Amino acid sequence: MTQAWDVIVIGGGHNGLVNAAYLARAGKKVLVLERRHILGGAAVSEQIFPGFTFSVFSYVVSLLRPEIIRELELPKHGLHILPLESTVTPLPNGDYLAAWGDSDLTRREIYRHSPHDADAYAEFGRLMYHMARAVKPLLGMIPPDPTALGIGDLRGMLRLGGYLRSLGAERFQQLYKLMTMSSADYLDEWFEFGPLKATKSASGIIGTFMGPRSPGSAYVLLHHYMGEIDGAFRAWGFCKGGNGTVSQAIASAARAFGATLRTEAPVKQVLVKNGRASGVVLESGEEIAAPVVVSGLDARRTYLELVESKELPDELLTQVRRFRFRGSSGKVNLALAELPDFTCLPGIGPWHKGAFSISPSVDYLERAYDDAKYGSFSRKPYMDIVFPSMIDPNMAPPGQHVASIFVQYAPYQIDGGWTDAKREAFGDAVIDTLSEYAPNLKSAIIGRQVLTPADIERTVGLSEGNIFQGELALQQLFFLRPAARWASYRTPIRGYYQCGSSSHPGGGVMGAAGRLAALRILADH
Amino acid sequence: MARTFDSIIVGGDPDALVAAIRLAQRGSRVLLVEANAELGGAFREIEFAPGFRAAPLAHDVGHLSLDIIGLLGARPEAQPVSDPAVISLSHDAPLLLRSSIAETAAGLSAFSQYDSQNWPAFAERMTQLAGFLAELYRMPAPRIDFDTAKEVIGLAGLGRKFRALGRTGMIELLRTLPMALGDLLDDWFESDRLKGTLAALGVMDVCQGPIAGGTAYTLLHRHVGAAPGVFSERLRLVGGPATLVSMLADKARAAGVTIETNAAATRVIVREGRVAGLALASGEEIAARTVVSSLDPYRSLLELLDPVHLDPELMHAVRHIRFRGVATKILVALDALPPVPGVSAPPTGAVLIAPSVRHVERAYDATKYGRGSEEPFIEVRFPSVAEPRLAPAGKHVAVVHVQFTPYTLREGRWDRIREKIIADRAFAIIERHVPGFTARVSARAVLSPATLAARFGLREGALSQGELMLDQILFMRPVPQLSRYATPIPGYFLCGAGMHPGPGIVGQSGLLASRAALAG
Repeated sequence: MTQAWDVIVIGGGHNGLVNAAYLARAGKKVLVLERRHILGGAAVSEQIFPGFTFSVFSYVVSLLRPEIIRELELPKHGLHILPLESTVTPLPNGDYLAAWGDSDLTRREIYRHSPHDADAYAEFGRLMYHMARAVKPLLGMIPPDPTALGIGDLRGMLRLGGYLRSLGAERFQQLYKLMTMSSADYLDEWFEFGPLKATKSASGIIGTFMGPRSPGSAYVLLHHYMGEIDGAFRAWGFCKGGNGTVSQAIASAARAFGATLRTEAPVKQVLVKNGRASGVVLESGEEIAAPVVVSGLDARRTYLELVESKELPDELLTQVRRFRFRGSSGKVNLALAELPDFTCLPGIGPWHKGAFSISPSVDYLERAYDDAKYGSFSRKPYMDIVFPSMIDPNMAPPGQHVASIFVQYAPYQIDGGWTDAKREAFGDAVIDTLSEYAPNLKSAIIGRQVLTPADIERTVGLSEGNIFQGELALQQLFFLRPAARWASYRTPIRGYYQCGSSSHPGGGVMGAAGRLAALRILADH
Repeated sequence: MARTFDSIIVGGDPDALVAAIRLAQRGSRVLLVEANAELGGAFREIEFAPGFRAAPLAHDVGHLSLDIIGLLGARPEAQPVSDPAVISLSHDAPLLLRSSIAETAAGLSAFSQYDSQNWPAFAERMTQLAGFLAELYRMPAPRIDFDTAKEVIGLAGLGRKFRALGRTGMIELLRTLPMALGDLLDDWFESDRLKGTLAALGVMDVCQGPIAGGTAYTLLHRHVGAAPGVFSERLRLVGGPATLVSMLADKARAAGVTIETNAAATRVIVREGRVAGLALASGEEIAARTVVSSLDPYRSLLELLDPVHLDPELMHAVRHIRFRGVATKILVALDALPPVPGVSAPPTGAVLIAPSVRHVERAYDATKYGRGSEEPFIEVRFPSVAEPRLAPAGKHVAVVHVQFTPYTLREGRWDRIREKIIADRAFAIIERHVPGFTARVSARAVLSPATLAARFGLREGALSQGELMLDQILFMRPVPQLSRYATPIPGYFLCGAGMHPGPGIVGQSGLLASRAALAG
């Protein structure tokens, strides 16, 4: 124990890095300890096949909080976000449905399928914009606890009540509907064209163990509508160089503020003396002292693995054990000799700069969910496909491409457990399904990486492979995330904090939890 | 308009009767019109075979709040809680949920020691949370834009009751309400059968499977007013649900209410922007300044009113209320009671065939694709055991609840043939679990959601008159603009199961609507 640190941050994921950057910016001596050889957690870019770079896990940016981009001056550190231009849904009848960056084009496109929906589309977009704005202040606040009796919490509740009241009854009711309804039911009130409803409702199931008809999925839909780049809502983007660049930019900002970032430094345990955090011990046996320790890992690891349970109240342990992860998504990364040629939009065109969504109908998504409910991966999965090399040509050798395929459902709890054979069968199901829409795909594949939730858990440490560090279900949000009373980034151990997306406001490459935890720590110390 | 009243109540169910009584007691001259030959609404009995009667939609009267008991003036005579309350059958030993928590726990040890240990705490917790709902259900749903001192006082009172739950109780309440029932049960138990049994009881009449968010709430809602540890029945009256209807009807007549049956309302008459009366199918127009409808909100708004009186946004919202009836009821005439495994005495409680959460969830899946379930979950009750008058001497009646059979079919429509297929399927499943059942059947009547809709005036065959999911309860029930029992037409008010606090909290919405009507 040679060097004196003010703060140790466990885990170099984007939240850990954001947390470290804010603390270092405030003058703290901060050490970040990352288990893997690269920083970034699930936001990393890696060369899986020579010459082909992938955003291995998370692959688009939008939820990253604008105040973080601004306050940490991330563009100066290499962050460069390019907008995602379009979303195309190929349809089984050979047609397609597209949403383009240009709203007039989109309107005309939707009109082709349903004049009614073309009108509703713009109005729906406006409502979502207002709803996302209404929720925004809630994302930026440390949640007050309605079950607590302290003055601070009561004041917080009154402030929260006052805020909700200020939205007006109508907005509040809309918000309540979004919190409680299924995305399919919610969209039924707006649209009539099946593939449009399906493609929209797909954002309500991403990362969750729910189908589009499951109540609660409308909230996840909104969560994804909160995507905001440079203050423009619902702007999704690619990061130049892949999502690892986001992490690199935050890391570079943290270093510039004076933080030290160590990789290949897995933490075994948090040291606790007399109910106070005093440092950490690494797998190597090395002990490092610090009065403040912050965990960027998920709640299960933060409470059940990094500290001994005798240090924690039973009430909290029970809540953490009941906190649900249930990873439901997988990822397939492809190195391609040529781009897939979609039969619905033949040739290579601007549509390859956007996303393709395999979501032809709500029934299709529900059937995919049914497979997962009963313990297998979807034979015909939902997919969100992007070709990052179309935006940033450096990601693949000249003339060649990379494809990033987000796949659902691949349940962590699969009957009999995940095996190599099952992983490949899952990969085959993905390729076979996609080939129905782009017949040249199979022959174009040079390399294929298939990641199941079990792989995600093993590689980046997300429990059960849940990309949000815990389901975004109502009973796991706000003051219940990850546990009532401990949703304020503090833990029962003094000096020990949590800053991962197991805390409010949850997942996505958002950084909000890391920032709010830093503000909490700075207020406490 | 030859006849004139102060108020007209449309509908003859307990909510309508309660509203009529309250208005009459406050000096209003009240007419109550019921489209059917008999009062009772969903409590109505029908004679489905000569000498065999049953109330297909009510095995109990649900929960009577202190307010309603006060209005009745006396607590009606109740049957004891069925013991066992539930006989849950599968291919192996029956699981019994008893009226006593300790006995249930003892019996559960044959299935799981863990579940046996957890049962008392689970029962206690559910009673505590349902107790909070019972308080919440006594007043109009709290809303965010409260503006009167009375509402603030009501909210403060509710806040105190919330605090009284204690720290753990408060956390459990907030956490449980939005949860999936399957998750809640996983938190407490490990036996598939026990979880399947409770899952089936929780999703009764709801178009959701038990792993959908919000279904923990539906279990709690149905638990309001039930005995601790009993999830299958609430207040069962001597004489059946009909007893409550006749008590209320007597009370209404005594208060001066004029009751007319076979009198279907066709239109609420609006003049100069407010209610002027009611038109009946007979062609008669009756003048009144107040009309209270206990029909479902869709019919009350979109069928009884001329659409020119409603703004398009409200109409849009009402059109999107989800009803989604999912249950088929089969009324069965039996020559004798079949022997039910697990019990020696004739059962007054529920016989349930729902072996696991997965089974119930799979049964639900079919509805997503507009089909009836191949392997539905089934509940059988024998109401004639407690009420011998329902069947000729020595014979019995069974009411079979089959779920899921959606009102809206993707292909084709409900007809006799489809009803026969559903019933044959259900009987085959019952026969596997209660051998000898089919041999004793002498007659049956199959009531699909479509038939229930036609015979009981329930939209889409939904007993709830508006699905009881989180987005359609409290200040959202039936839609926010109508949640205070008043409509945009002065003088026109709503009550019934479609309004807060919803189905099974009998008479309460009638009471709350009458308060709104009296306030103007």
